Amino acid sequence: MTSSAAVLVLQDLDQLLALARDPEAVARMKRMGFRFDGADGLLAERARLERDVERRWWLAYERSHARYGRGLTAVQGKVCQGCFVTLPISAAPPAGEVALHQCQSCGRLLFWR
Amino acid sequence: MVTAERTPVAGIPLDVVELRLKRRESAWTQMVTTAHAIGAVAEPEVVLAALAHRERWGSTALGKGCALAGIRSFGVRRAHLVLGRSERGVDWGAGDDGLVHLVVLALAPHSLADSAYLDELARLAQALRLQKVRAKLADADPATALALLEGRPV
Repeated sequence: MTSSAAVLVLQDLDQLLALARDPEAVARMKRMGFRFDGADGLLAERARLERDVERRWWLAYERSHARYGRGLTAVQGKVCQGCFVTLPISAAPPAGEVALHQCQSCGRLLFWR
Repeated sequence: MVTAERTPVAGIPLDVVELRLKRRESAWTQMVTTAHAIGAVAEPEVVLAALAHRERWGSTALGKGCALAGIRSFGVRRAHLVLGRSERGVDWGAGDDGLVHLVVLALAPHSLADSAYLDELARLAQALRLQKVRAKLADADPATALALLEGRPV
């Protein structure tokens, strides 16, 4: 798995962890018929992911997560979806590729597709 | 080869897949590959990891031979449903109620809010609880399957 894919997995995992820590959400899902084993396994997966993510992106992710409550933010139409600043075209990944990028305005870690 | 059909009806699109293999992970791969082929999934490996993590949190099997695997992921481009069917059953892991014959894979983009995501799961879980719905899903065409899962009369 590439480092950028691992960051996406990390963001998905953190979103799932947030849900797992929300007692109302868990209660609602239990009423739907789901059973849960607790979030410990997810925390172990998170620790394992640290090995797959390039150090600079891991640190940028954790900084974004601590500051904004979300480690990764999407770019849509050259606009950071965190602070809504238009990003320089020179930072865009080549067509058809994906890239991680740090917003020069707000510092969020961005996923640019 | 993937067996899939597209539904022509509006709303969240649904594909139907006849599951060939007995392992849960193989079922996920077949269903995610189908969603990837039609463009609903951008990053299959990210979505497969999200499914594995969801299952690690707790089984997605609901009992009565059905499972509802719902995830939100950065690897999903747009909301999509995949109904997987297996006549001989898929082994959904220890602790589940036997084999799973119907799997609903509910894919949502990461940006979907918790409340909307839970509403969607609740709607699907409610439909899957009904024996008549499960029976009809076993051989429904995609349009009928979508109507059944949305609780519309068919």
